[in-house]
Amino acid sequence: MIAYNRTSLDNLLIKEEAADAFHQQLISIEEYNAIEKAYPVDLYSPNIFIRIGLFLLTTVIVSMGYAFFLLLEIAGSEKGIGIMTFVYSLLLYGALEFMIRNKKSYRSGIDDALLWLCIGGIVGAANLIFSSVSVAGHAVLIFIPAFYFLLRFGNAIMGALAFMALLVIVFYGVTPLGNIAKTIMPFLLMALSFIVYRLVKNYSNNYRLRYYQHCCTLIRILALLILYAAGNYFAVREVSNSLFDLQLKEGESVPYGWVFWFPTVLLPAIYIFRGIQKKDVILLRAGLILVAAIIFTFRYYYHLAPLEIAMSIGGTIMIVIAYFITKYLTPPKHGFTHAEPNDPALAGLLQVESLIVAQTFHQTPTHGTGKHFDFGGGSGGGAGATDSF
Amino acid sequence: MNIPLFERLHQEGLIADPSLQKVKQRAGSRLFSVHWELKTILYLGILLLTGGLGILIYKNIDTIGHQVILAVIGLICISSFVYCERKKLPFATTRVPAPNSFFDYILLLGCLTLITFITYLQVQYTVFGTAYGLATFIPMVILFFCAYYFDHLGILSMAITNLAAWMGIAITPLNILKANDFANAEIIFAGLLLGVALTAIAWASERRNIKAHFEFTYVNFGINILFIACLAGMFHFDSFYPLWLLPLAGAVFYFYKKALSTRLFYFILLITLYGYIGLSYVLIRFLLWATHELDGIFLILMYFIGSATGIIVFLSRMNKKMK
Repeated sequence: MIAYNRTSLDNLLIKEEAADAFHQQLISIEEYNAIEKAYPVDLYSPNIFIRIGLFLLTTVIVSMGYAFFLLLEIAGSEKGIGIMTFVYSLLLYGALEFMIRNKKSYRSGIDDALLWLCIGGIVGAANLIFSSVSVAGHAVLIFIPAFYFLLRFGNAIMGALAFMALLVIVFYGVTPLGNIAKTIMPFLLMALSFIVYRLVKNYSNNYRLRYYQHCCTLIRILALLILYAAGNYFAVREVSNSLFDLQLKEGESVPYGWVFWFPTVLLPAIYIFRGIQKKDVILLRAGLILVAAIIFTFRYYYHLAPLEIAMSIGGTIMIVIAYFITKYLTPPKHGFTHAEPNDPALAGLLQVESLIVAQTFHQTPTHGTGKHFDFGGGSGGGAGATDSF
Repeated sequence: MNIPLFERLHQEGLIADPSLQKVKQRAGSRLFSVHWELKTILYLGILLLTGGLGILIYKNIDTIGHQVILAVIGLICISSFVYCERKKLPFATTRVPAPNSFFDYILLLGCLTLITFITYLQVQYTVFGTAYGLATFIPMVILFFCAYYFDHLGILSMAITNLAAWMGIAITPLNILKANDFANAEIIFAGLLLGVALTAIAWASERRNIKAHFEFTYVNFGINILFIACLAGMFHFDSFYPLWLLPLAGAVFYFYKKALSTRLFYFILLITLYGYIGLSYVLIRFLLWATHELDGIFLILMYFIGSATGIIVFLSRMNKKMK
C-alpha cells in the first residue's frame, strides 16, 4: 500500500535509531558511519528550510499552471471548468507518484505541497460541478482522499485531516436524526475520539505499522484534545447554542449542562495523572495545555476576581510550582529529571525561545503615539515547548 | 531504544560489545525529562505575573493601593537582580552558560519589572522629560546592558526590538508587516539603516569575538528588516523601482556568502524567497508595461513556472552542496 520503497523506509528507521544512540554517546562515530553505510537511505528528504522553500515554490508552479489552463478554458461553462479542475487534480496526483517513484521525494516539501493541492483541487472541482455541496458532503470529499493519502504516503497531517473529516461526517450525519441524537452528540464524539485514541495507542508500536509512527503520534494528540473539547462545558454550550439554534440567554445552560463540568475539570487531571504514571509525554503535555482550558472555561462563566489580579496570582502560583518541582527533582526521582534532554534537534529552540520572548514581552511605544505605554504586559499566547511534540 | 535492532546490528558486526551493553543499560534506565514542561510553566507564570502587575498599577494609579503595588514590583525587581548577581558566573566576552535553569527566567522577571517601573515613573512624573525617544532609549540601554552582562539571548532580542522601536520601526516577528507603515519613505530608509546596522554589529561581534554567539540573533533581525525595507522601497517608489534591485542584489550576495560559510540553510531560504519576490516584481511590471494584455499574462505564467522550477533545482543543489 505504501508508495515508498520499503527497504528505504526501514533503513531510515534504523538510521534514526542509530543517530539517537549516537547523540546519547552510546555508540561511536565510526559505528554510526558503518551503520549508515550498511543501510543506505536513498530518499530525498532535505532539511526543514529547503522543505519550506520547495513547498512554496511547488505551490507557485501548480497555481500558475492552473491559471494557464483557466486561460485556455476562459469561455467554458462552470461545469467545464470544474471537470478541467478535476482532471488537473488527477494530473497533480500523477506528478506526486512520479516524484516519489523517480525522485525519491520523501517529506521534501514537493510531495507535501502536491498532497494539499490535490485535495484542494478535488474539493474545488466538486463545488464547481455540483452547484451546492453540503458541509457533510465536503467532509466526505476530504475524508476519502485524505484517508487514502494517509495509507499510501504515511503523511501525518493527512491522517489528522482524515480524522477531523470523520468527526464532521459523524456530527452532520447523526444530528438530523432528532433531539436525542443532539443530546448524546457530545458523548458520541467523546466515545469516537476515545476509541480512535485506544486503537492508535495499541497499534502504534505494532511492527506492521512502523512507517506510520508520526501519523499515530499526531492522531493521538488530536484525539486527546477532541475528547476534551467534546466534553468541555464551554464548547458544548456554545456549539449547541449556535448550531442547534437554542437562543440561550446569559446564565442559561443546555439541559443537564452541569454534567459537562465533570469532564471539563476532571479530564485534564486524568491526562496529567496517567501521563506521569505511564511516563507518556503526549498525555502529560495535553493535560498541561488543557489546564489552561479549564481556567478559561471557568473564568468565562464565573468572575471571581478581576483579570489583572487573577493573572498576578496565577502567575505567582505557576512560578512557585515550577520552582518546587525543580527542587523536588534535584537529584532525579522516580525516573523523572528536570535536566535538558540531550537532543541536537532542539538546538535551534533557544533561538526560537528568544524570538518568543521578544514577541510576547514587546513594548513598542512608537513615537507617533508617544503617550501610550504597554506596561510590560505581554500580548499573551506563545507557549515555549509545545512545538516539540 | 530498540534493543532487537541493536542486537541485530551487533551480530552483523556493525557495533562493538561495549556499545551494545551501553544501549541496553540506557534502555533500562532512561530518565523522563520534564525540562520543557517546567520551562513553559515558568515562562507563562512570568508572562502572567508581569502582565497582571502592569495592568494593576495602571488601574490603581490614583488610589492608595498603588504604592503597595509599586513596592511589590520594586521588591520583585530588586530581589531578582540580587539573585542573578549572586548566582551568575563571572563575566566573559565569550559565551557564559546560565548557572541553573531558573537563572534565565529570574533575570527576565527582573528586567520586565524594572521596565514596568521605569515606564510608570515616566507616565506619572515624566521623569525623562518629553524629549523624543528618551522613554524608549533608557529601557533599551538597560536591556542591552543586561543582555551582555548576564549573557541572555531573550533579553538581547527584546533590546533589539526596543532599538527598532526607538528608530520608529516594529520588528517583533508577528508585527513586522502589519504594524509598520511601509508607504512612508522615512520608515523604509530607517529600516534599511537598521538592517545594515544590525548586520554590521553581527559582523563585528563575530570578528572581535565579543559574545560571538549573539551574532545569529542580530543577523536574524537584520536580514529580515533589510530585505523587507528593500522590497517596500521597490513597491513604494514608482518612478525608479528597478534601482532597488541593486541593494537587494548586494544583500543577497552578502548573505549567500554568509550562508555558505556558516552552513545555515535558513539564510539560503530567506535570500531565495526575498530575492525571488524582488526580481519577479520588477519583471512583471516590465512585462505588463511592454506587452499587450493577454500576451503579457501568458508570459508571466510561463515565467513563474520556469523560474520556480529553476529555483527548486537550485535549492536541491544547495542542499547537496552544503551537506
